[in-house]
Amino acid sequence: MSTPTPGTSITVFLNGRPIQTVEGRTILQVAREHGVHIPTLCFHEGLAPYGACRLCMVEIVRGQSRQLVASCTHPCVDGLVVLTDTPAVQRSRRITAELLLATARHVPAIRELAAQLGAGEPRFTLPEDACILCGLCVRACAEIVGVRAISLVNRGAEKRVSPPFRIASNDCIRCGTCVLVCPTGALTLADIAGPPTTRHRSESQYEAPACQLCGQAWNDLPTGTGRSQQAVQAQTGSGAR
Amino acid sequence: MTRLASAPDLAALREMLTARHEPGRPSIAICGGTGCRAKGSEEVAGAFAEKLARLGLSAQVTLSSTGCHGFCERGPVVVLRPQGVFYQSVRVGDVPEIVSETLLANRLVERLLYTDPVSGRRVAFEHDVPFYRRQHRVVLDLNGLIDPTSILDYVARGGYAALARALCELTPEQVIAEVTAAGLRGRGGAGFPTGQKWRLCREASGHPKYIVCNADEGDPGAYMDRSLMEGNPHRVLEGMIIGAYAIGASRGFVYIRNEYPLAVRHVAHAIEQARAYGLLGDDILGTGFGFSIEVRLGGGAFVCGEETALMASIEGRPGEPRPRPPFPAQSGLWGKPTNINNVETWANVPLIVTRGAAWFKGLGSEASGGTKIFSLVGKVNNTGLVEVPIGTPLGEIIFDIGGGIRGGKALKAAQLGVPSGGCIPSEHLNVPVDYDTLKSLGAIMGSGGLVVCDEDTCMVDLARFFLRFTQEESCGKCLPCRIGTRAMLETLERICTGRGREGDIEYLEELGGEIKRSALCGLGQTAPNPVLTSIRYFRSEYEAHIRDRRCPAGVCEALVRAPCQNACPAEMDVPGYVSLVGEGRFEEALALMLETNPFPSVCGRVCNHPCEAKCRRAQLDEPVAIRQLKRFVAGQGLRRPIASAPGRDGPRVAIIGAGPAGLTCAFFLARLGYRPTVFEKLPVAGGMLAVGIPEYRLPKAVLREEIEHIAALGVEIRTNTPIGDGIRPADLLQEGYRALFVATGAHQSRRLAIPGEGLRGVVPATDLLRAVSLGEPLPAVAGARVAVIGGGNAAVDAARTALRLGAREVTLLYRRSRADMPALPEEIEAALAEGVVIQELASPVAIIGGNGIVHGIECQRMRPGPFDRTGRRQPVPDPEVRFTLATDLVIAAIGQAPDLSPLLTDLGVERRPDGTIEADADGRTSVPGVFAGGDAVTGPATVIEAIAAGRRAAIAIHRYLQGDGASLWEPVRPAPAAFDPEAEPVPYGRCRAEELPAVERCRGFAEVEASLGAEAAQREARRCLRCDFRDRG
Amino acid sequence: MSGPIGVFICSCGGRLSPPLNVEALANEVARWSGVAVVRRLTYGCSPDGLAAIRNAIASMDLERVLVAGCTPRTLAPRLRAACREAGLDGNLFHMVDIREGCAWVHGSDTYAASEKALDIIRAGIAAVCARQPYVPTSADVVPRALVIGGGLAGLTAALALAEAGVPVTLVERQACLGGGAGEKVAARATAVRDCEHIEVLTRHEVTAVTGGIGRYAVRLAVRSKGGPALVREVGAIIVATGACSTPVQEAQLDGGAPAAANRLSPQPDAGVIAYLLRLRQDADGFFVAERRRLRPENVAETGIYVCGAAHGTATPREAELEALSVAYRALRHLRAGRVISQAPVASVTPERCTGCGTCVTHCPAAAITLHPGEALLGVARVDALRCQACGGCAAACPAGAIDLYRASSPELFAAIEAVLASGTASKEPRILVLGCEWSGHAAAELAGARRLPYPPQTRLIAIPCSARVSAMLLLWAFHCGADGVLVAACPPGECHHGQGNRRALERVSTLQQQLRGAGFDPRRLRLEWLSPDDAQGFVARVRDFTDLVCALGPAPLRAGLPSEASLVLASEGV
Repeated sequence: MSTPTPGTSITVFLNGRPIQTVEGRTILQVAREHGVHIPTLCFHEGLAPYGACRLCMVEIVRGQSRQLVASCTHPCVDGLVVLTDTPAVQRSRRITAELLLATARHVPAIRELAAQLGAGEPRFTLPEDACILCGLCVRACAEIVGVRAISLVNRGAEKRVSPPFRIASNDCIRCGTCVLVCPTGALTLADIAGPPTTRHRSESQYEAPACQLCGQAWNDLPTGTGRSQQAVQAQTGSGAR
Repeated sequence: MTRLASAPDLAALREMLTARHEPGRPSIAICGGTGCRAKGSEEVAGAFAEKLARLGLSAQVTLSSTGCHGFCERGPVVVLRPQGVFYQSVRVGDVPEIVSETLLANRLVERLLYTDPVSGRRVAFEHDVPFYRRQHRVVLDLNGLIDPTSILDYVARGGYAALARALCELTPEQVIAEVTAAGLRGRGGAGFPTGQKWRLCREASGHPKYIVCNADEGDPGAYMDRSLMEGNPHRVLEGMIIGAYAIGASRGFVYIRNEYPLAVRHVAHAIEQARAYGLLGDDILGTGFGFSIEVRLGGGAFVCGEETALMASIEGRPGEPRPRPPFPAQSGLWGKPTNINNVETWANVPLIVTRGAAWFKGLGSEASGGTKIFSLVGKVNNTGLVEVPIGTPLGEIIFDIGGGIRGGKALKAAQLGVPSGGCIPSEHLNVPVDYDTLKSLGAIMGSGGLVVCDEDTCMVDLARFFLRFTQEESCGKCLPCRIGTRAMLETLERICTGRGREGDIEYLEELGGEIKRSALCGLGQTAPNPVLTSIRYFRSEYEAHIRDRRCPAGVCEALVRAPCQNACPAEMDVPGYVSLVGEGRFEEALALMLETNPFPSVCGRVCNHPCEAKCRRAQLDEPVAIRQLKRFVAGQGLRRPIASAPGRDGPRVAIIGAGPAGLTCAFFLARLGYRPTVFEKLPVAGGMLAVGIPEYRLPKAVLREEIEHIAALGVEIRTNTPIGDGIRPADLLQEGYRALFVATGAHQSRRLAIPGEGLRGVVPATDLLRAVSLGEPLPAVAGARVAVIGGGNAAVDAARTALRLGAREVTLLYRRSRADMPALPEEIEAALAEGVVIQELASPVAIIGGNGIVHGIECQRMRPGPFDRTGRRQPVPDPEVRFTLATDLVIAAIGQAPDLSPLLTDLGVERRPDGTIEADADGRTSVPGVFAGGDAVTGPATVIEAIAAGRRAAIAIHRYLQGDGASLWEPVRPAPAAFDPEAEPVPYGRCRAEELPAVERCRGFAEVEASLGAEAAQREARRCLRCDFRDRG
Repeated sequence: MSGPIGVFICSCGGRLSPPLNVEALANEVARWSGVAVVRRLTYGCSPDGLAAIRNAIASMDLERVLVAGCTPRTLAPRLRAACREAGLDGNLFHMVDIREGCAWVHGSDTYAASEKALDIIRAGIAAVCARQPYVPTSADVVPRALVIGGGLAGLTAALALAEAGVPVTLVERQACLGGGAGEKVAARATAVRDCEHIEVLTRHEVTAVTGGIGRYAVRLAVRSKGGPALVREVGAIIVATGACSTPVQEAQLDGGAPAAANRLSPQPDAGVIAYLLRLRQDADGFFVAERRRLRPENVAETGIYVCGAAHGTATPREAELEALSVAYRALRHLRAGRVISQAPVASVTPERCTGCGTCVTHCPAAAITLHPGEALLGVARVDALRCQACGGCAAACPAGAIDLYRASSPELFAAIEAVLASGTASKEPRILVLGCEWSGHAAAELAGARRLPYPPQTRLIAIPCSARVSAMLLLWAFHCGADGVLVAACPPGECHHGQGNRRALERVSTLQQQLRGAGFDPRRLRLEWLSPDDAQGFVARVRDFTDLVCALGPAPLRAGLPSEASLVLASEGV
């Protein structure tokens, strides 16, 4: 664990092939540049690595010991030995894909990925939810678009993509970048024309039946008053939570 | 308040403080830790202050509120010095007495003293309390001694001397070298070497550097960090300042969870004080080194104890972990090199600097120095904070400090590093508790939470409990942790509610392993540990839940109708018949018993009643006398012939052995319409019941009557008919017997394997008991001095029989301590009452004799040694002490084995290495059509287990012959007894049956215990709490 | 003419092939005149790719850079930043999309896809070559704040700012502070009076606001008296004028007592404040909070904030919270010290401006003002920091005097011509889609990301808002050989720039009528509403339109045929 010096020229061994690169690059970057396919869901070239989907696990070898690491975040150091397709890697990806299927089983992209990785029918299921919480939309909104209209709220099983306080966000500019980067198509944009009271972020908001994530109740209101608000809607399950 | 401008200033201050100190000045220290406060210690302190003021003693007596003493269970704790008198559970009302008796008159207040649960003795002084005596308190040393809100108290006891030494005498590199040499490893759980961590941070480029004290102690039940911060916050700060100096950091943070208000207050106060004294801030002690510390409050997310999540939280971002590398030492808070250590780690640092690395390393094990504080909780007698050198065996912590298991139950496992550590079963009690050993066992040290589980703990349920915690605390960022742990949890929920499936265990193992390998942070990587280790060590318990829909520990509600019924190997409907007895419906009660057990009279006398051990009434007073009730009902002469089975011309089944297993199997086969034939080698039926259990416990007439009821059902019993050389078992199958049940028992006594065993006067217990039962010739017992070797029921039976045969004296030699004797406690009590002498911790090494006759027996004195696989102390010889016991007759009762050769050789049934038959729970052997059960399969076991095996085998034989879907007999189901959910439990205690006085008993073989009367039985039955009504009530 | 241009074609780690052969594309592009260098990149976004671009700029003195790869929506900022690092004007970097816009939607048709990719690259080169270097606008922020209104919200905001060390001027129309009264308010009023950082001007009102973002000069006068006016220069203005309640008699219910209710309405002078500060008002007259920040780098923070009941009913607690939140935003703005707009904004060519004021009425951001007296009628000027860069002014200006950077008429004309160039030799019909970046173009990109195929005859050009569509642009497209033109705009009520889509609809309808009049089938021009996430809808409509255009056959103007459309052009006076 010596402190790496980014920029130093180093050699790493990718599936036995010596590759010249510079220190500080992630394994995934190097692998991609050399045509080695590693599946990922939460990685995007334009965004900082996040390391959440755990599909990009690869094995690194240190002497006798082998360890699974997330290739999207693990930096290369000189002499690093990386194996991207060992039985351990395949097993890990297969289980992860099975877990993905447990929730996003009707998403074509996930089905395809699971089939490629050899995952069978999930032995455990959750309520169908296309959102896999890869965080791409949230990070794209913050890092690319420069607004923070949506964020990840709650924790654990309750974690969701949501505008702040689950109220249609004033910050959303309806640019659609979140929708564009979503790997599962879980996001859509909903036009929400709300009554004027929706503006305030205060206690009284939480009880308003309509100011939930999807704002379904407002869709019946006339639009085009010049006051339409936009919000990102994670179309997951029942919508209004 | 003076700012200390240099190290000599500090030394001068200390000198002044010590000079002011009067040795022998009376002081009263009241624990002000959170635990004791919750129990009212502040009120107690107020009462003391008031009382002292009223007596005008305020100036003469020091009254102080100290930090946690660690023995929180016994709080509020009060210690009177200089004597060191230790009072526990002190209430306000006790204060005047303590002052008038102990403070003024130097007398003890007995009732407030601690009582040792093992010896039952009262202990007066703090250092004599076993809980403290076996600890090694170096980090917690000042907790309970100093006032945590006074920096002067700390300085007077040598506080900040380490800082002065580090700043003035050592270079930062030397400090790091010292910490490295001491072998200090992170106390927060992962155990990374602290010195190495510091060096990496020191060498990292980037400025400024930060250090963090991780005080986000979130592990359930663990509170050592809280206790340190509450009781001695300056030591933590001192460690941090030394660390900052070594690393070159200028700013530090203490990240405390907001649920620790007192710790927050004390730490914040300590920071203020340290700053006022010039121990924090610019130019500390005039050395030019500057460092400041801020308190940051955590919002209570468990995951924020993970260092990267913690840093995110300090920076004001959501507390989500991020992948490492980069490690905090490279890129931590705000991208700068950051060093994070746990509270306990920081508190160790001043000790290393003052006392030296060699001292510190000497405390611990080879790989890691120092001590570790554990928070000992669970089913152990003494709970609290325990500091022991790293490498102390687990058993010592649990038994010597923890005082053993509550209620005399057996230890099942210890859960370390809750919630994400692993369990360690009782067979590993000897392992030294250190980072590497625990890892090899699948557990982790964690932050030091240690939960002790007794036999009543269901390991599946426990794993589910911990997993639910980690699952709920998962931040949800990475998929394996968010969804994977949920999948595991739901699988466990299914198993615990009786919906387990084949393959679930394998799924849990596979998934758990992958989560460990692929989760993003420590929370996810360790979350599966409780499940994986409990599968590793208690797989059979999982299998019982899944395959048998049974929770052996009687915990999982969906699988347990009532704990007593769950505990019964034969699954007798205990609440059913007990409640019927309560209503006086004795005949129905008997019929209900016969559904599962054809020997109610026998079991009413000799059953080891596991049902009573689990009876929930014991939590109020004593268990319901279930065995007595059974005996009463069976003795009422109400037994009617069972309604005829569907025809009596079914297939023939051969049963070898007329013991409880064989006869039970025959009974149920007959009820299913088969024609069983029982072949018995001995002249009587009943097996061990007939020839192993003495008449005074089980009258032969009673046994005979129950066997006659079985025979009346159409069971043919052929005594004096050995199977083997004469009638070969294979012949039986050819003679038209469609299946074979082998239940030949374990009648062969194990050999002592010591010199002199061949002498005349050395008799196996089984031989003696059989001879008495069958009226065969006996060795000369009358007037003899008899030594019985062994500690089981057979040994006690033999000893009591010998007394009745007129032995002059009977001594029972047992190599372990009396508490470990496997015989029933009431039997041991009875034997003692009758005059049997028990020599515990005595192991025979040779039988001495002359002319071929026994004269005596030479014994080796033993003492309790390390823990063995069963969780008991293994006896080890005390080489100094040997003694010889003069004796005329030696009865060996050290165990029995089945004698199967040549019975089964031609059947080709597989055997285990110990000679027992390889068979599954339903009695299926390796040969189709051949079933086995009872002691021949299990080795010597209980009557009720044999009965249960016989019944299961009958059903298995029926299924074997009729197919899996075959229906069973029409069961008797009496209408349930009334139950009033609103009624309070009846207030009276357990009924006792009459017993013959000990003097009378020894005169002959008359039955010792009498039956209950009808009125007493009904009264006793109504004590039942009706746990079976849990769902409906 | 522009200097050397470098073209970088990213193969996205091989994910463009099939159908695109990046090497062949590069070889073809290298033959084009004006292209100084063509480089292929494996991953343009990777550190290696960025380094290659930087190195090429430095070593070959490139003046313009075109990257052809994935959608610019996600990676253009990163690539632009790399160009800036190498010393290139970020505005002379341009990115075109041959992945979502071509390779991923025409999977089976290698030939058509390659042809389309070359068209896209050609259009990109044409567009970036038509651009001139750009000087961003910036202004210093005066570190002083004005709070209008001395009620709970105003007092709270003023105190919060003062506590952070910002000098504050608090203006109140009434004689005393306190607005709606109450104990808390009184305490706060005292605190404000005692605060040395706050200048309290009671009985004063705002009479004029001049200056611009960063430095507003506010005239404050004693109410309803002439008197000497005070002028305060401030960087931030917080409007907390509150509301006033007027009793409303409600209809009597059956058997119930007549219910008297108070209805809240805006302060009587709300309209004046709105006019002075260019705030928008809703139907009731409440101020409308600024909601659409668009891309933050595009639009500078105005430094004008509204809080409390001034924009609708608010409980005291809400007003207080909002005041704090607004104060924080103001503080951040004031502390920044300087506002810079990197955005491509509109600019006026004064010599051509006739001072007709059309642009002023078309601007949704009130960024254009007319300065009389400088020419015949006056000259329009654009406040660069307020401009939202929708281009509505450029489309509307009858004199061609105002144009939008990065979507200027020369740039769009060049791009349209280039993107349709290959069509002259092709028998396939050519469909031009002018997609609003916020909706139609976003939907097209999403169709690409989801790999939903649509006919390869389509050519896409992104425009900042459908308001940018002018009759000239549409006719130019037909002139350059388009057989059909589809304008994809935000659905009604969803335009990011107010009424842009409505104006586009008006222009398209008018032109359709004129086309019909000139004998040109007006069905060749169509406007569709599209949501940015409606990828399926985009595909369906493009298919439908393509089918129609195929059925109609080649447009009369194609291949230089003299035809009806030239008559139309002539009739328009072009």
